[in-house]
Amino acid sequence: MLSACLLYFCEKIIEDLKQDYTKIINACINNESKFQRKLYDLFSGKMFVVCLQYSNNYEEAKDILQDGFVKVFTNLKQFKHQGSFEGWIRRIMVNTALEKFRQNKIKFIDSEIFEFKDSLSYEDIESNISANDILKVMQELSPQYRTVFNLYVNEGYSHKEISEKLNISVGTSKSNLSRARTILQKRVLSLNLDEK
Amino acid sequence: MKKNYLNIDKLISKILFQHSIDPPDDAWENINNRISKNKTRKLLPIFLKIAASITLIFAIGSIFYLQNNVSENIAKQEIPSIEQKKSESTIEKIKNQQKPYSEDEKINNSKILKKAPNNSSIINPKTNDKSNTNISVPKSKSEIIIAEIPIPKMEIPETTNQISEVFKNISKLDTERRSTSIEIPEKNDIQNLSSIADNTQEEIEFLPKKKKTETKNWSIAGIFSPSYSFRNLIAGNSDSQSPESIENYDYDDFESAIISYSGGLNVEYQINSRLSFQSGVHFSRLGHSSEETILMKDAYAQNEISISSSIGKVNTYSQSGKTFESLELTRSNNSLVDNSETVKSTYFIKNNMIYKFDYLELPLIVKYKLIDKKLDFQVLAGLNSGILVNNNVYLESDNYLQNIGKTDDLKSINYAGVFGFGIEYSLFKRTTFLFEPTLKYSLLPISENEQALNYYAYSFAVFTGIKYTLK
Repeated sequence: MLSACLLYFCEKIIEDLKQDYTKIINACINNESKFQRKLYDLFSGKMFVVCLQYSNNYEEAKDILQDGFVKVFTNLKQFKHQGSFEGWIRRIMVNTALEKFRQNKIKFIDSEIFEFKDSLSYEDIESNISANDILKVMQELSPQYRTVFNLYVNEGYSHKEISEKLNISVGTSKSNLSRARTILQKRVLSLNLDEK
Repeated sequence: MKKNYLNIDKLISKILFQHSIDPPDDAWENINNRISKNKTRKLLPIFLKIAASITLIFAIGSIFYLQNNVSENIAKQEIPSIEQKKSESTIEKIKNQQKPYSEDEKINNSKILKKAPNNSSIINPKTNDKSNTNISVPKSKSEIIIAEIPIPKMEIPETTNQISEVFKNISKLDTERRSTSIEIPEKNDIQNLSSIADNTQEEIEFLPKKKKTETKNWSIAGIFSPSYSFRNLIAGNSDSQSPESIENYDYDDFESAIISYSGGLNVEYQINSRLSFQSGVHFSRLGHSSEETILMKDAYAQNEISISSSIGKVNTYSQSGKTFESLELTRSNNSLVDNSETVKSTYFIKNNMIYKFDYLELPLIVKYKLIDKKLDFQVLAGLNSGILVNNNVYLESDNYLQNIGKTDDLKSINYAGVFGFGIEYSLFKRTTFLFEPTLKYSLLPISENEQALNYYAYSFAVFTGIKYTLK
C-alpha cells in the first residue's frame, strides 16, 4: 500500500516536472526571452560538461555549447514530448560536437603511452580524482580517440554506429576505443600518483 | 585487463554523470544575440509574401484599369459628343450648290462618283480656319455634310491620280483629327444616309485601312502532360539544423526523380492580339524516389521509429510499436538492418521509397505571343499557388506499392514560379492545338520543417491540349 502511494506520488512529481518543461518549451517556441533564459539556466551546466568531454579545450566547449543551444531553441518545435527532454538536448550537443569534429578532422598522432609500475584500485582513484581532472585528461586525448570513447561509453553507441557516424571502419572504432582506454587509464593513474 | 577497461569506463561515467560546470558568462549573451537574429530572419518571408501579394493585386488592377481606359478612349473617338459640336463656333458649314451628277462627266472614271446616288451631292467645304473642317449630316436629301476633312479647298478632281491624292490627304488628316461634329439627321434622311454610307465604304476600299481593335476573347483549354518531378536541395541556415540532419547525408547519391503526370483546365483572357492572361485549375504531382532511406530510432523514446529523407520525417500509419513490426517485413526480404543488432540508431531501408505530393494548382500566367501567325509561338511566365491535397509515402517491394505514411510538416500551400513557351496551331476557326513545355519551380521550401537542407520542388512538363475560343 505504502509502495503504491509512493509510486503514485513519484509519478505525479515526474508528471509535474514534465508539465513544467512543457510550459517552458511552449514559451520558448513563442520566443519569450525570459523562458529561454530559464531553459538555458536549467541545462547549461550539465551540457557544458558534455561539451567539455568532446572538446580540446574550454573555448571549443563554449563554442559547442553556444551552437548547440541555438539549435535547441530553433528546433524546439521538433521535440515531440516523448522521452527525456534532457536526453534530447544532450543529443543535440553531442551531434554539434560531432559536426565540429568532422569539420576539424585531421590526422592525429597517438599520444605517448606512459608506463606505470604501481597499480591502484578503482576506489582509491575515485576518491582522489575530480571531474575537472577527468575532463582535463580527456581533453588531452586525440579528438578521434576521445570521440569514439565518448560515443561508446557515455552515449551507448555500438561500434557499427560509431563507424557510420565518424565515417571510419568498425575495426578502427574498436582499436581507437582500446587505445583511448589505455591512455586514459594511464593518465588517471599518473594524476593520482602525482597527487599522492 | 578487461576489468581495468570497465573500471575506467565506470570511473569516468560515474564522476561526470550529473556533474555540472557553469559555462562562461558571455555564452548566454552570444546565444541570445543569435536567436534574436533568427527571429528577424523569420519575419522576412512574411514581408515577402505580403509584398508579392500587393504587387500581384497592383499588376492585375493596372491591367484592368488600362484596359478600361483604352476602351473608353476608343469609344470617345468613335462616338463624338454633341456637346463638342455645339462649342465649335469657328467652324462654318459650307454648302456648295448641288451639282447634278450628270454634270460631272469629267470625272467619270472616278469610282466614287460612279456609285454615288443621284439625289446626293458632294459639297466642298469652305472654312475660315484651315485646320478645321466639318462633316455635317445632311438635313435634306440633297445634302451631305462632311465632317473633319481638313481640306481647305477641295476642287473637283479631274483625274484618277488627283482623286487618290485627295483621299491620301483625307486619310492622313483623319488620323490627326481632334474634334468631330455631327448633326442629327432628320428621320426621312436616315435611309439615304445609310445607303450613302454603304456606298462610301465600298468606294474607299483603296484607302489605307485603320487597324481593327482586337476583340477580347475568352477561351478554355484542357491540357495534360506526363511530368518529370524532382527537387533541389539548398543548404539552409546551419543554425537551424535538426539533430538528425547533422549527419549531412548526400541525398543526391540515392534519391532520384519521379515521372508522374499533371493536367487540368485553363481559362484564358486575351487582352490584345499578343498579350493574354491565363488561369485555371490544375492537378500536379511532385515528389521524388529514394533507393536508400534512413531509418532512425529515437534513443530517448521507446518504440519511436522515424524514417527520414531529404524532405524530413515520415509519419508512418502504424502505431508506434507496430511501425517497427511492419518494417520488419521488409527487413526479412531485404538488407534493412543487421539482424544480430537491435534497431537503436541509424539504419537504411534498401527498398525503393516513393514520395508523392499532390497539389491542386491555381496558376496566374501571362502569355506573350512572339509570332502571331497560324502557328503561334509564345512565351509564358507566372505564379502558381498549389494547395496540398494528398501526401503519401510508398514502399516498393516486388513491384507492389505499399502506402506506409505521410511526410511530416509539409506546407499546405506551395508557391511556384512558372516559365515556359507555347506553340499554338489553329486547327479550325475556334479550335487550337496547344503544345506548352513548362517548368514549375517552388519559390519557397515546400516543408515547414527547419531542415539543414531546404527542399525546393520542381517539375517539368510538356503540356498538350486543345483550346476552344468562346468569342
